[in-house]
Amino acid sequence: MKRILAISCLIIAVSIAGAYAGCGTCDKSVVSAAKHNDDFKTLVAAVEAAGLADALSGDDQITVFAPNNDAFSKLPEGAVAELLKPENKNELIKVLTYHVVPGRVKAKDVVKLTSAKTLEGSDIRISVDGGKVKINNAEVIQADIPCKNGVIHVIDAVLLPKA
Amino acid sequence: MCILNHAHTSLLLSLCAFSVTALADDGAFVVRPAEIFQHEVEVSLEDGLPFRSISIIGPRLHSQMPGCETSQHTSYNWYKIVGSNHLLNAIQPKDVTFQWNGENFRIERPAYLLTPATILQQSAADAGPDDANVLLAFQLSQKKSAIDPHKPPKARFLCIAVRQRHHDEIYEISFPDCEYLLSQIDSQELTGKINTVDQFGLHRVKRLRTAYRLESIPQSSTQDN
Repeated sequence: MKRILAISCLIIAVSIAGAYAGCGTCDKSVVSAAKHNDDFKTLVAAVEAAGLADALSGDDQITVFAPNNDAFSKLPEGAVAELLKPENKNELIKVLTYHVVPGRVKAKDVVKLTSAKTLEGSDIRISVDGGKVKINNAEVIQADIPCKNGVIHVIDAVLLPKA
Repeated sequence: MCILNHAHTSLLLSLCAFSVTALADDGAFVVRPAEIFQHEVEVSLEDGLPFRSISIIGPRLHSQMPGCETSQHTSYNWYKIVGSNHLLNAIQPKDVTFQWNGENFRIERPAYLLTPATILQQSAADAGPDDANVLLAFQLSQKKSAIDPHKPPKARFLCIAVRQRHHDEIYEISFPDCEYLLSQIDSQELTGKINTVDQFGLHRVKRLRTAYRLESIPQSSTQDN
């Protein structure tokens, strides 16, 4: 019996590769947590270009719907490079703050909402569609990455506020 | 409620007699998560007792539980408690026995943490009650049947409410008298997938097979011996 148990434990240990173990982000700000995750390289570059890193690292709790690198790659060719230009900083700030909601809103509470006001000033739509959580037309693909000053939900598309 | 005395984190010997309400449409089934989640949380068996950390992995099972003092059902994701930890070490398996339908059981160590889950339906989230308990499923061992010594043991888990802490969030016990008994049933293959949200985030699971029948333990039908 002990041998069977030992084998079972080994199988479990192998199968959890890539699983989220413990909390490596709890002591980090949302910006710092994003910097430590290669999936957010484009987002971090954008936050730094917009000069928002300090503002999003304060004590106020925030919820970030964070587009990963693949999400940015879905934008038209050249769009990211254009946004990162200094002369487009205001537009970039507008886009990025449209992904941030004041307060710490975990996924279990996000799904109870139909909309939320962003730091940009306008609302994002929240819905459940086909068993998936949608923010506007983006899907939440990972939820509840806990950070010192809030929580990150990963989305698969960049949210664009109305002009 | 079955009198489970947890003084000094030890379950004291109690004898309870239960009558149970079978809920044919309820039950727990085995699932396979698209992505396995592993984490540490803290639980306290009752007010005044310290939180103790446990490691969990899953979800391994999913169930629909009848509501406590409400007709609204609650969905639960079941996370297997793994590894050696302070909670397991603090509980002495031999300390509690109870009696049900003439059978004697012994409550062993907790095997699963059950956390309320919201099911993501086609166009809405089925959240269930906001104040649903977090539960611990204690393994049951069955002593020789008083009725039929050859009858194989069926009862597998007793689920009771616990306080739980996850980072800065504390989930208090809303309904301390709400308990459930899980009995093994013949396994039947299941199909389909379920998307859920619980305190640990999004979980996409594939339904594999039926596992346990669920019975609630109403307080009014319980008495101490």
